[in-house]
This record gives sequence, C-alpha cells and structure tokens, in this order.
Amino acid sequence: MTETGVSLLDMTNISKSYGHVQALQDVSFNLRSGEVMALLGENGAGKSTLVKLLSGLITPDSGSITLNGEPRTLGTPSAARAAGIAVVQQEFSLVPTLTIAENLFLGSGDVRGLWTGKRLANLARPLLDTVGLEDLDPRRFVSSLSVGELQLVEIARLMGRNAEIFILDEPTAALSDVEIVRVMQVVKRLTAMGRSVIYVTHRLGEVFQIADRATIFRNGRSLDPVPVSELTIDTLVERLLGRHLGEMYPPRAASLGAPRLEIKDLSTPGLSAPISLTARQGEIVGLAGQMGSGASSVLRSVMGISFTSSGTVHLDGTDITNANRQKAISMGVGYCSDDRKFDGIFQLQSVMKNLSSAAINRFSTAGWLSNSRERSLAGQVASKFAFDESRLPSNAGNLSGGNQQKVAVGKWLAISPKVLLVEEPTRGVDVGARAEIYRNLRTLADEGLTIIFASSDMAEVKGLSDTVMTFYRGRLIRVLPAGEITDQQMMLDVTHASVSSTPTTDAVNLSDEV
Amino acid sequence: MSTIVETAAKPRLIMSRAKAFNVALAVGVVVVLIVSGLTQPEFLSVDNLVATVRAAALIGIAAVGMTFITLTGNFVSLSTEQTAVITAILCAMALGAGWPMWAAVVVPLAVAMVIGALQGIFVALGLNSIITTLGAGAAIFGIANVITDSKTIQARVPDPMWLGTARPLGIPVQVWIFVVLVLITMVVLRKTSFGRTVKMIGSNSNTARSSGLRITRAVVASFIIASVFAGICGVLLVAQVNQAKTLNFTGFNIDVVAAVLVGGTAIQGGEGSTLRTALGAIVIAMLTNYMLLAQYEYGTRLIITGFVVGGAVIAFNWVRGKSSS
Repeated sequence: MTETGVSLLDMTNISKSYGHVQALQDVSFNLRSGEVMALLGENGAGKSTLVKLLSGLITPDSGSITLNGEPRTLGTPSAARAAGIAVVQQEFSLVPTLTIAENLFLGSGDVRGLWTGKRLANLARPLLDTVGLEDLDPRRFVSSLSVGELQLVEIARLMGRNAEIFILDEPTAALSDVEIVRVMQVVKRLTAMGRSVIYVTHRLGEVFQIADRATIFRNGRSLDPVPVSELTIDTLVERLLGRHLGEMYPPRAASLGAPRLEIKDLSTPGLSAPISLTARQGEIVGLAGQMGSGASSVLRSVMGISFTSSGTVHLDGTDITNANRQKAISMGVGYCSDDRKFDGIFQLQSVMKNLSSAAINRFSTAGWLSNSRERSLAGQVASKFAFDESRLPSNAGNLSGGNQQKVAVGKWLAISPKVLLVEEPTRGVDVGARAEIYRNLRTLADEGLTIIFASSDMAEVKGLSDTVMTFYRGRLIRVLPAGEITDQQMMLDVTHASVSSTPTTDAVNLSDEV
Repeated sequence: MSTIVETAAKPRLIMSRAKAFNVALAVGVVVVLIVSGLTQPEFLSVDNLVATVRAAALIGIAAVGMTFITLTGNFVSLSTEQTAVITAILCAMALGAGWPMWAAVVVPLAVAMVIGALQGIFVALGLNSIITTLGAGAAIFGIANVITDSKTIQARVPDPMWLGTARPLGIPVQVWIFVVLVLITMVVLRKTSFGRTVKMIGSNSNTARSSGLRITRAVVASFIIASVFAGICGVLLVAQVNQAKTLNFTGFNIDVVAAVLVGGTAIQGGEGSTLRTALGAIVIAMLTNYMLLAQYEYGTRLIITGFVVGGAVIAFNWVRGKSSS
C-alpha cells in the first residue's frame, strides 16, 4: 500500500437534519492522503448526506471541516471543487453528444482558442492514459461508450481538474465484473499518485480488495474508522447492521413441483445459440452472466420485450411465444428490469399506486377504480413482501434504494403471478435489504411461484438459486443444481479464459447494451 | 433500522402540496379580483363579470381537455385554436345550410374527434407531440381557409341560440358547460382506470409500459378529449355570435397553454388536476379582461401574460423541487 498517515480531511461532530429528521448526528470522518477509505452503511444510514456535504450541495447544521489542517466551509459546489474534492457521479455528468476529448475539457477553461478535434485529442491522451483507457480514441462520441468506460472517462475528467479527493459513489453498481477490475485498477493508480479516495459501496467484497480503512455509518452516526486488515466479512457485516445478519441466503427448495415454464430452442437478439430450459413450480433458476452474456435476453424474450425469432415458450402448456406484455402479464408473468428508475417504479407516485400499477383491472369494475379494493390489494402485497404498510402513502422516489427495489419487484405480486422474471434483483441494494429480498423471493417460491433471475453477482446466483445456468457471450455454458457448482467453475464459465489474466478491451466491449 | 431519513414528514408534505397549489390559485383569483376592482371599478360590474366568466369558460374548456395531454407527459397541443376554428366553421356552415341544431353540433365535434385521434395515433407511435400538433394545426388552419375562402361564414339562425345566450340561474350556458366538464374530468382522472393510466404514463412512460398499462389507448384518448373540448369551444362561439371565421380564435393556443401551466400541472406530466387548470383559466381570463379595461396595448398584454405564466411555472417548479429533495 502507499504511504498513508498525513491526515488530509477531518470532519468532526457534523450534524445535519432535514426538518425533524436527523440525517447525520455527531458524525466524524477522517481521510488520510493516499488512502482508500471505504464508506459503508445501509441505505439511509447517512452516506449520501455526507457525500452531499463534501460536494458542497448542502451545509452542515453544526460541526467543522478541516482540509490540510485549515478549517474550510464547502458551502457551494464550486467551493468544494476549488478545495480539490471531486465526486464521480452515479448518474454521469458527461454529455453523450460530445466527444470524449470535448467532455474532458468542457467547462474547465484550460483550453483556450479553437477546439479542433486533433488538438483536443492530443491534450486528452495523457488523461485517458492515466485511467487505463490507452486504447480509446478521444474523438469517439461519449454515447458510444460502455457504462464502465463512462466511469473511467469521468474520473479522467476530474483528474484534469487536479482533484485531490475522489469520492466514488457506488462506482461498480452498474458494472460487470470485468469492468469492475478496471475501475479497481484505476483506484489503485489514483492512490499511487498520492490522491485519496472515498469509496462508497454496498459490495463488501470490494472493501477487502481495495480499501485501506473503512468508516461505517449506522442510523446517521459514524463508527470509528477501522483498518481493513483487522476486519473479516463477518465482523464487517455485524458492524454494519449492529446485529447478526443470520443466514444471507435462505435454504433451497425441498422439492419442486410440475414444470411451469418450458423454453425450447429459443433464439432471440442477444443469444448466439438457441437455448432450452424448464423451470418448475417453486423453483428459483439463476442465470449467471456478465452484461451482454445473453442471460437477460432470455427473460426479455419470454416477456415479449424482444422478439423470439425461433423456438417456443410454454406456460403451463399454453403457448406464449411472442406474447405481448399485456398478454404475458394477464397470463401471470411478471418482469422486473435491472434499472428500477428507468422502468421499475413511478418515482413521483405513491407506493400504493406503484404496488397496484400492474394490476389495475384487479381493483376496477368496468373502468371504475375502487379505492378500498386498491388499498387492500396494496396492503396484501406489502405484507407479503415484508413492506412497512405505513409507507404506502409516501412517494416511491423518496424511499431508500432497498425499499425502491422491494417496490419494483413486489408490485408483481399484485397480479398473483405464476412466473416472476427478475434482472439483477439486488442491484444497488444494501446488505440488510438484500437478505430480506432473498428471503421474500424464497418464501414466494415455497408457495409455488417460479422465479427466473439473471445476475452478474455470482455469489447471489449460487446462494439464491435451486438451479444455476451460466452464460457467456450469448451462449448457455452449463446447467447445474446450485449445490453442485463451485465458485471457480461459475467464474470460469461467465468470464471464460480471462478469469486470471488482466481483462482485455475485447472482453470489456462485449456488452451489446450500449 | 436503516430508515430514519425517509420516514415521517415527507408524505404529509406531499399531501399538503396539492392543497397548497389549490389554495395559492384561489388566493390568486381573489387578489386579482380585489386589485382589479379597486383600480378599475368597471371590472366588478355584472356585465363585465359575465363577459369575463364567459371568456374564462371558453379558455377553461379547452385547457381542461388539454390537461389530459399534459398529464400523459406529451406537453401541450398547439392545434387547439385551429381545431376550435374548423369546428366553428363547420358548425356555422351546417347551420347556414339549414341543418338541425343537434346535427350542426354533433357532426363538427365528430370531425374534431377524428382530428384528435389522428394526432394521438402519431404521438403514440413515437412522434413528438409538439411537432405533430404544430403540423396538424397548420394543416387544419389551411383547410379552414380553403373551405371558407377566408370569408366569414354566417350561421343565419333567425333567433339567437340558447346555447350561446341563455342564462339559467343567471349564469351563462357556457359557464355551466365548463363547470360540468371540470367536474366530470375530475372524477374521470381520480376514479377511472383510464385516468389512473394517464397519470402513470406521465410519471414514467417506461414503467407504465413495463407494467402492462395500455399506453396507446390512453394517449389517443387524451388527444381525442383535448380535440373535442376545443371543438366544443368552437361550437359555443358560433352559438354566441351566429357566425364563424378563421380569425376567431387568434391567440387561443397561448391562453390555453397558459391556463394549464398557471394551474400548476407539471409540464413533464404525471401531476396536476383539471380543477387547477380551471382556476388557471379564470386567472388568465380575468387578467386579460382587466388589461383590456385598463386599455393596455396588445403587446403589453402579451408581455404581462408571458411573465405571469413564466412566474407561475418557476414558482411551481420551485415548490416541487423543495419537497422532493
């Protein structure tokens, strides 16, 4: 590790409340130069409030911030920038219709005169090199980049602004494993150059790979920072929750019912060879694969989102090949994409309206809604998915990520589904809510629901599924009962030969979703 | 456990926000009334108030219809005034040709329905609503000029029509129709699955699609409602003045859009109500009437209207931003 020790940033006794809600209470935070400090906590523990403070979006009610030993106020975003603090946004701040080079210098004021393509490209080159994007042409348009590349370009942009402190807010949430490796390498490079990194994440494994110390937030308070070398995954989880998590994954199904969803020789965009699969009543099937592996293409095709060019899909013996969404839903198929903000929830509508949205015909008669029937339907869904009913009137957008995800998945219970298709069931969800979602899904499966999910999180696929199917580049590699597959085998399957070597750009550009 | 930050406070704040919008609008109406009454005593005369509410009714009916389009997230229709014009002309022509009144009302409204359906289908297929309605408006206005040869069409109804001049309980028929339409649309938006679908599409059309909501149907229906309501304005005008010409509704698009926006319906869709739009229409009509009485130039009136709309939109956005951050 790099030499750490000089205290760079010190926040002491910071408090911040919104109305009568205390978001941060007497929080202290310390960052040394050249270190990676992991910032951990469940959704709503105060991590994002701290990030907002550091980026100058809000001001603390009390407490002090010192930078390099000097007291500072970071009242505005520009003051924070001037202090050398840079936030790598979850929602990227790059302009898709401009080139990479143009984005790197947009608003910096460093490049005077004409912005000719060649000149900018030359200036951009060294910045891109420092973030490991040696192969990327700076004259490419940002809209053509993968999510991982976007993140790295964003870091390069902030490097160009001479930022000292980089805040990475869940940088890997939307990335495939291969891309995560690249981001990790860049983080290491940043600290080697003497920059400091605050690394906010829900993926605890990453803490051990990358962080020097960890600060844990719980219910708006901070615990003292701990060197990662003194932690184990178990002690870390315990500190996070303030209690034992118990089993992360519930026990698998004892017995499975009759075949429910039968897919035969299915071909669809995203798959390079036809696949077949049978999912039984009460079974959870996990499709493991990186982005663009074809795992989610299977789900999209069943739901009629993408076209099934050949092959058949049968639900309880009824042919539903290329059924449109309304048909699939009325047959009892629910589908939840990997991006809940895009098409999973209505952020500005109440939780109740969200939970009932897929089943409007269940509480209406001849087009007339019944409020009482809607309430009781939403109440049933909420209690089935362990969702606090007092939260039904709040706007879904005001919930934590974990609860939003519960809404996005749970709303399908309103249609009394036979089959639930879920992409990335716990993306961007904290460890506590994650365990809860796993438990809920298993309970539903025990009641006879068939669940098929696609995920790039290998531990999740292995832990939650009864049957595991691995995908690589549009091909089904292997089908095995989850109890019989090893972690190594899965990792090898989904990354193929590149598991031990450094990922090549070729492997990174697999994604066909960009 | 993890939920301190998000509990309490927020839901209550949101509930009160919708009410706050209504109260703010009502206060706006009263303030304009008082200020106008004090500075232009004529403003409060019975004749003037009747004229004002009649104008408000016409703007309001069209704006209430357009609110459906706005709620679905398809911004506004820029063919409202042209739709009103063509309906008025067809109505006047039908009356002039000796058609019975019911036919002279129903047939032009059916034409308006087709006009709305066509635009709705294009928008549902993915065309931008502004471009679609702008183009449709130009085409409709062109047709109106061709069929009238740009001349005034006389309805030649011997006696003034009750639809235009009657005053049950002292209140003009137009206002009654306005009130009834506001009430019906309020119920439709709140109590029917169509109304729910409209709002959900505007909140997030992608989620609406993935939830299996019938988007095409709801969008087309919204455009039909907007178009038919604009058509009703056209018919009412003929009933009132016994003639129609292409220049009848000049500037109507701006007034109608202004009413929707001043009513606080979110331009990005999903939130708003026809009651608030109705109040917005009353504000706009009173403002216009007052400025006419005070003999402001046309240009000055436009400037002031523009600022009122801009200010209202900024204020509503500010309130929304405050309560959702």
